[in-house]
Amino acid sequence: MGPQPPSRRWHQQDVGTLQVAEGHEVADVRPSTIEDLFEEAYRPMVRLALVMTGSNEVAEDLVQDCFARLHGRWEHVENPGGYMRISVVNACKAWFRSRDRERKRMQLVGAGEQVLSLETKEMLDALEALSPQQRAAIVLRYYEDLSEAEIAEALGCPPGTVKSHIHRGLAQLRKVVEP
Amino acid sequence: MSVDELVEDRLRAAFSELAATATFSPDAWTKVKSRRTARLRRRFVSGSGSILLAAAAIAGVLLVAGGTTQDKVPETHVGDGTDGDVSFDHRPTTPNGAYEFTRAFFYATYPLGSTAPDGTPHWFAGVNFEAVGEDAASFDFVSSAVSPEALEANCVEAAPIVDSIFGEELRYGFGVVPSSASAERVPCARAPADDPVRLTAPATRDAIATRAVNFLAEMNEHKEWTLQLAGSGRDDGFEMSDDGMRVDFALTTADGGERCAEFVDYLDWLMRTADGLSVPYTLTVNENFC
Repeated sequence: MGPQPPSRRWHQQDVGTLQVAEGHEVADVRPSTIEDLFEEAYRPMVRLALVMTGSNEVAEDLVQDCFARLHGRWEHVENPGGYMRISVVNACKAWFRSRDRERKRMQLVGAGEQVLSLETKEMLDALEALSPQQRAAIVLRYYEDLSEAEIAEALGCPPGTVKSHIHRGLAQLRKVVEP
Repeated sequence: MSVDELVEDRLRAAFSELAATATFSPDAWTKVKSRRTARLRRRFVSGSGSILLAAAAIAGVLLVAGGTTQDKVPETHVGDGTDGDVSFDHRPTTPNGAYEFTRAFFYATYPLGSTAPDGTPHWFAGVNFEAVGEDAASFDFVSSAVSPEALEANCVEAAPIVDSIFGEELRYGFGVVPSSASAERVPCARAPADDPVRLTAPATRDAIATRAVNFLAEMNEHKEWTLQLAGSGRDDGFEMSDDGMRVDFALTTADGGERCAEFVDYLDWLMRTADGLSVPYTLTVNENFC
């Protein structure tokens, strides 16, 4: 008898407890329904996407889309919270690469950004110049307070790559605070 | 306070300030459900399902189905003899002559040896679906990138989508075929090379085609796609963006050009009518295809 084929189930990387910035933690226990997960994680995920994209409109759009995608895979996902975070991060990275980024960005100007302080705007502008991977690593590190190992798992890359993304990202961001 | 600490503090403050501005649609869950419904609507029915057949008939497209029963097909080698080629074992066809897609896996080459039109080397990974039978067909979902990191990002992005669309047919796990000259493997691989994915259910060529288009539709928000139709095992070069995705479709028909041309039309129709496919695509039919 040959080797057993791997399970068809999507083995989501174990990203542990889904932690969000304001100290709220999504339980490690798998929610029984996607509605439960939505109740628990929608707002934190929108905030995460907002921090990554800079646009509330885009953030809600991406997170809703991620939930819609997860809907069809619910039975196959072992850790929906972790899966959702990775989906949102990937969706944000993809959004940065997408063609309509500039268009959406134009819509953003004059909307949410106007309530932000000048310092925050400067920092967000600098973040905008980073690559999607660098930005994702920076956000997960300094917004979600994940460790490099956790970020590596979330981004699906080696910890050394995460370290490199953060290092290079911070190097660029120094220009904002240095005269 | 060091500059780095200052940057970190400013980052945290900026993130916090920005996150605090978040607003939430009161009907967000309704929107999620609507999106889910829309996805289901646009997803073609698999196999030789009546909806697909009816839709194809309406469009005046002749679907080619079935084939000749064979016990075995010869071992197949996909590739041009350079790094990253993929070989297949003997694969049985099904008793009813349907195309049996027996293996699918991510594979990788570092780099392929080919270059982009601008001369830069490309890194290359994909998932391959190989059919057998008289009208054998194969799909290669290919991601090409200028760096391993970009490739990895594409790969990670594609994996759950492949899982979603092909999951019913796959006994799961993505394998990796290491290049002949390098032991490196694509980072997002999920199974060892000697344990490739196997498709448990027979799938017609057209069923796989619909899945290919579904795959494109799922990925289209993120990628610019090129659909390349090439003769089996041929790759006529990279004509895609640095961060692009591509579907290569290879087809071997028993009766040559006519059915081949029909299939080109069919695939083109699928691409045009997939309402999720908003990003422009390029359909390239290479000379050696038909």
